[in-house]
Amino acid sequence: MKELPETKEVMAIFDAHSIDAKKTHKLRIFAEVEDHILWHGILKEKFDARLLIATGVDEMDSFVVHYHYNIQAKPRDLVVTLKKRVSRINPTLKSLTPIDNSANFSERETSDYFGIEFEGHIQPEIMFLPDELKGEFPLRKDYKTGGQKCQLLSR
Amino acid sequence: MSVVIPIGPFHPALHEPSFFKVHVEGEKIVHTDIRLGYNHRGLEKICEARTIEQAIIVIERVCGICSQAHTTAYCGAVEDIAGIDIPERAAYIRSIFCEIERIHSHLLCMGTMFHTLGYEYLFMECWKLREITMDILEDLGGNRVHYSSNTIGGVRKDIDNKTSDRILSDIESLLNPVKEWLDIIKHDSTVYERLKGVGYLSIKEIKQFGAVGAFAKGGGIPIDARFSDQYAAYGFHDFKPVVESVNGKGGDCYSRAVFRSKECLQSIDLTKTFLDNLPDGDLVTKYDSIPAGESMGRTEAPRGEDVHYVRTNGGPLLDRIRIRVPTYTNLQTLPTALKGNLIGDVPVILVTMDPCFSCTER
Repeated sequence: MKELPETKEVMAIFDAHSIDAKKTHKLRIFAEVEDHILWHGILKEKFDARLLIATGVDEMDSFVVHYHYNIQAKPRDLVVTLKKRVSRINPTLKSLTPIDNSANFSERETSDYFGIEFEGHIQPEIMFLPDELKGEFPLRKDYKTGGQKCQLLSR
Repeated sequence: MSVVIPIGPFHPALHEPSFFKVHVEGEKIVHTDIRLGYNHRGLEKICEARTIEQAIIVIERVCGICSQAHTTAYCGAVEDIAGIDIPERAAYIRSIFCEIERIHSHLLCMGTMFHTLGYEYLFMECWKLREITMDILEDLGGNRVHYSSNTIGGVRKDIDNKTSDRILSDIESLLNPVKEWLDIIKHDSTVYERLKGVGYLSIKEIKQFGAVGAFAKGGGIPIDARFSDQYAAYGFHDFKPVVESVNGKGGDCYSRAVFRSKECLQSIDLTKTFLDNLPDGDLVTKYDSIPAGESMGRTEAPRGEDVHYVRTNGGPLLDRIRIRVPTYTNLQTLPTALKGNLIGDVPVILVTMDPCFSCTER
């Protein structure tokens, strides 16, 4: 896939801050950052980026919260992802919601599933899970789902 | 003093379960609380116990209407991780499925909109036309809703010349009725006055909450992953997203209804273009294994931009999938769209947004 000038521009900014950003086959950019609020500001200001989603990933040793952005370009828009590592022992992270309202639902959902507390979230309520599951975080890798393992039928 | 009126979890105005606590002063809405989770099935967790290929079957069942959009996004993300480029014929077939699905979804939504307005004749007309698209989909994929067409590296269902000719003539027959109802929305005062100025959202509000789909495109912002992400065969032809707005400053129910009808016409046009230019070639690119990695897949589902984050660990099982559907961000915007309107207008605003709670809660 042909590299766009905007891709080079985004990569140059990450390089200037000595951040190791990775490109995929379709040129999606993934970069691990220290201060996601600062980088949110940079992407908004320089590229008028639009927040797509916030996602949580359990990497066993720590959690990683991803913020995915869309950056307008011609002929194809870019997708840039900021990754912020969160400790497993005390999973707290500064919320983006006071700055950007579009992070509201996805941060609440990440909090539901992984037990990550978003400090300063404007509406820290349960999103999808029933009230009985309070204190249980089903998308953590060590969560026991119970039930019986399904047997795959051989043809 | 405000009074709280509960709408849901099960309510005649809602076609799926969800709960809105509407705070009203007199008949005017001042605030809305949304409680979700009545349709939550934990599909993301289920996928973590499935292989990368098996997950397609689960992901297809996220939604009954936009199942092709979901699998296209998922397969796109996995193909990105593995570095697979799909054959051109497969890309075209994916797009054809996506477009017919879009026409089907828009006909369904317009039908329910007319039903909500009390215009029962057009409701039945729309749903009668919808049967034509469902028959086409059954012809193509073997099923009316879950077509099982997509696979990693391409598609499994081919389109022969005979089917292609039939689709072309059937799609053509939709053109005039859609134009007719667009005319009714524009000129019939019973429809026009019920929609005009209701559920208004300014461009600033749309951007603030990250709304997509009808809220964005029906409000003057051209967010359309088909043309901005150029997945499947959308990069091969020059089309521009349909945008409708109120004086270029925002959108109301009327502009959203007009937008949806116009997008339906565009989809008919796109289907014809794809069928006419369908190239020869393979259906699937073969691959050995999927390496560890992560990527994003994007498609334009009928209701707006659909985003899939996929992470693999080099093994056969899927490590993590996160699905963000268009209704998810549109629901964040909904309280703003409802504010200041009358309680009787809630169903109309909801239906022009075209929510899908089954998608949202997964």
